[in-house]
Amino acid sequence: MKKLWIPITGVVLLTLSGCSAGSSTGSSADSTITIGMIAPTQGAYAEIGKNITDGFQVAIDEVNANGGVAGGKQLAMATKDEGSSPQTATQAARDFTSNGVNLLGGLFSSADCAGVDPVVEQSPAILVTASCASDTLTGGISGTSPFKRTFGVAVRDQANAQALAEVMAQKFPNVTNYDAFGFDYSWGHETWQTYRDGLTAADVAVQVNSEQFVPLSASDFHSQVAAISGGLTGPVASRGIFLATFGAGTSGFLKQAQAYDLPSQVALIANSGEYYNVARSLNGQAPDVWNSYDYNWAAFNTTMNTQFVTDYGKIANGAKPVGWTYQGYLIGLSYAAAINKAGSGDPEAVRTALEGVSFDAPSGSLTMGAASHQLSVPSVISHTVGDSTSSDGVKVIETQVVPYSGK
Amino acid sequence: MTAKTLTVSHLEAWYGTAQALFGIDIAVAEREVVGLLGRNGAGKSTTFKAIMGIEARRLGTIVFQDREISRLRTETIARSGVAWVPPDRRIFPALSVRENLALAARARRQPLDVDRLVDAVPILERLLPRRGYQLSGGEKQAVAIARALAGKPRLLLLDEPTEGLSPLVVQQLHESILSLPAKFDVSIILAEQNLQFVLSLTSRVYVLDTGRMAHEGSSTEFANSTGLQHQLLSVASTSDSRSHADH
Amino acid sequence: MFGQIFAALVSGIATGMPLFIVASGLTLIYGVMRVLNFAHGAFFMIGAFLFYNVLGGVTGSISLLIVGLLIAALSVGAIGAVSEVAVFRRLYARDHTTTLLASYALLLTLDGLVQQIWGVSPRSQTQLPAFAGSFQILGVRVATYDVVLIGVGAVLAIGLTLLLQRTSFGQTTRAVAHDQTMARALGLHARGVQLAVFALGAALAGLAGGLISPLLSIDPSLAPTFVVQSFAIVIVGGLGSMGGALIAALLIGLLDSFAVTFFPGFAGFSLYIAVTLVLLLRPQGIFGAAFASREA
Ligand SMILES: Nc1ncnc2c1ncn2[C@@H]1O[C@H](COP(=O)(O)OP(=O)(O)OP(=O)(O)O)[C@@H](O)[C@H]1O
Ligand SMILES: [Mg+2]
Repeated sequence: MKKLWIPITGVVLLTLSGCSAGSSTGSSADSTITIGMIAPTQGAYAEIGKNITDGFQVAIDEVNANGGVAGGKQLAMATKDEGSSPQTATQAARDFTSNGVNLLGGLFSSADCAGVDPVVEQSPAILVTASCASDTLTGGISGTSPFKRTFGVAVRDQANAQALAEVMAQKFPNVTNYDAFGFDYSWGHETWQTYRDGLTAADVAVQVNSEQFVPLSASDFHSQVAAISGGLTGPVASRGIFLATFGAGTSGFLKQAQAYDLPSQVALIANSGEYYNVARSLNGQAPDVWNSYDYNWAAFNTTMNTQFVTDYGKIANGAKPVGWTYQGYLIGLSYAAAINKAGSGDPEAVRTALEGVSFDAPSGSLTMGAASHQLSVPSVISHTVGDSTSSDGVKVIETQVVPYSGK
Repeated sequence: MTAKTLTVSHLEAWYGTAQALFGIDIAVAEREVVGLLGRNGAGKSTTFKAIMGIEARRLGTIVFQDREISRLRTETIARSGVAWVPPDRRIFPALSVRENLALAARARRQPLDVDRLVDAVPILERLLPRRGYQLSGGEKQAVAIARALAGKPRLLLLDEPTEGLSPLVVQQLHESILSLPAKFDVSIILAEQNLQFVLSLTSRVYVLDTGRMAHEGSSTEFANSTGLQHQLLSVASTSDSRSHADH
Repeated sequence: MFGQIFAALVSGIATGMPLFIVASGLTLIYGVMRVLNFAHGAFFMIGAFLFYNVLGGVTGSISLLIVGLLIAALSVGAIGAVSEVAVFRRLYARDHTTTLLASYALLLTLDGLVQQIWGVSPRSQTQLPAFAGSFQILGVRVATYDVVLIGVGAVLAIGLTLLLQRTSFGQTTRAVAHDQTMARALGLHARGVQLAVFALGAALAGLAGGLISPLLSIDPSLAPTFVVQSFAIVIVGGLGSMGGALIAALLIGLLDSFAVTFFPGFAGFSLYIAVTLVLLLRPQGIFGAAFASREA
């Protein structure tokens, strides 16, 4: 008896920590349509997951407050943990469909989507993904989605990098001397390659000083920062640093770069990938950074955007929405528009309706490509710097919207 | 009868489910040196471990200086004044000899009296600065006894102290052990294979046979009874038959 | 060329020292109890979060910094003590797999608790102004805080060595580490020593978390990252050897910084290359023996 309490305590603790993700299952009364959101709720990407689901929640709250969908039905969200592998993500999708939830959304990692998309293809469910913007998963370039039952709302990764290259080439034609730092997987390498090619195409004579790629899980970039710092050449006005990172990768690099006074020794730091959350986490100390991603709260002067920012602020202690929040929000808007068009929550009807559906969004009207299954979201270039006097520690110096370039 | 230092009654011990001691009794008086004899595997070491509360599960009563210790933790038993010198000596290799001694003294909250230890174990003097791993087998044995004495125990459990020692060193050890009861006011149980060594140091002997007390009596009586010695200590009949086959 | 080599050298030491600070507690715990504690990374992470919490993200003064570090170290030490009593004490006698699994379970539990307490948003601890920025020596830019970390690491290395070699606590610890049964048979309080060592090891992780936090994004990804590096250092250094851990940490730091400077393609693997080479050539690690069994 005496020995029993240890395993019991262990189990209780593990349960508390592990299974806290509330997963209300889709016991859909006729008046509600439940959408199953899959996003990380634990570990390193839990914040991303929360942003996605919060954005989605804001969308369905707005939709519900405006009378719901398909003649008064309410939208509801159920959530499951994406985990940190395609296996866990796939399991989450299976759990949803076996509970009768066949309208799915979310997913942060392209690797997870690569696991889930084929499974959804073989099921009665459909899926609108959040951040899975790798070219192999969408029809943004080819014009035809490889998956009939999967749709995407994120800007293609390479479209963001391309947009950033265009804007940087125009604003900093003399910055030619680049050090690159990125995550050591396909996204990091391709993003840097696209940016570089984009600069070259815009007649910038790019010279690559160094390229440093680090594992996605790394957080100590001491050696890389020191190597970049020690290898800087040419006049400051010609130097640029490109970051193909997000999250802890970006913030760890910037913090360690600041310890070496690196930002003051280059003309620009450019980053493709979600960044606003990083800038915010740096307590007003973020360096001057040019970023390209799907969204910046200050980029769109529309009523709908103001509404979105306000509504999200209400559930997030006044915080501004970031790219991931926006993706979750767009999933909600896509489903609402398609369900309205279909007149019901029947997955097959909604799938057909999603193809080619158009709706108003904070950036203006968006269309879901009928064959590409790709939403026509523009890229947003934001120029920000840390500012301890502003409410979230970030000052948006300027933004520039680069229109959707895909099919 | 003089005051008893240790009284072991009906001591049984198990390793897992295998029983190794089947209810043995031992009594040791103040400053008395008794022998514990028996063939390999008879249970001598197990008896010591059972007294110290090490490894084996035990049942029975062990009264040490009027205190029942059979349910205490090993460290508490040691602190109450029982010291154990295991057959493999177990000197801490990373520590110097002096540190080995200091540790034992400190554990029993005794000041370390090196002179007194050197007096009992003369070779200790030149070993003090050495590390445990730098000692020979005989030196380790000397240090192990000194370390046991450093905490000023009232009972010393010596397990096979002569094992692996040269005759000369055995002679030195003999002298050391002989002087201990008077010098340190300590009782000793001496477990040994070396019969002559035991008989010359002890007043009484206990003889174990497969976990049972097979004989108990004065050392002189046992010394004179080759029959008993043969019956209780000689190697088992299998090796007898082998020696027959050799002829 | 000279400049680059010198820069790589400095950055290697600056990379290695924080790793040593994290790994010192792990190797101490292994050296005494033969427990490879997966939860060490969580101890580190909690140290970083607590430090952040105490100082509210801003390091105002050096005395606040020290108070923050003390609180992080002591609190994580206390968490270590509780885990020792609740989990590890019962498992010392068991095989390595059981302890490893238990410590992994503890890692997950603490991870979960951290997420319950601090949520999922990454935090950032600003640098003390005096330690922010960099300066130049011999044409090489050196971060001020690196010098601080190198200093703290050196002090810790010396302090821990003195503690283990020169104090009675150290003697007792080494005795318990080498032969717990004999130590107890001499009357030493082995359990107390194990508890103290576990708490100290955890406190070192907490201290490291606080110390390194200004250079990191403070978020739940810290636990796994640092536990992998610490394990590598403990293996390369020789399980349980404090001097080995120091040398291994510096070696891994140097290997990393030279790889990054001269062979960027290998940079990500330098840790694994070091571990593999050591396991092939010297499976017992550089020093090869726990501090208890030899003079090391
Ligand atoms: N750790 C152990 N686990 C299981 N059985 C053991 C253990 N130690 C001893 N035994 C068994 O207990 C019995 C008594 O062994 P013990 O070591 O007490 O004998 P001994 O009289 O000291 O012998 P020796 O003269 O060879 O040292 C033997 O049968 C032995 O095999
Ligand atoms: Mg024996």
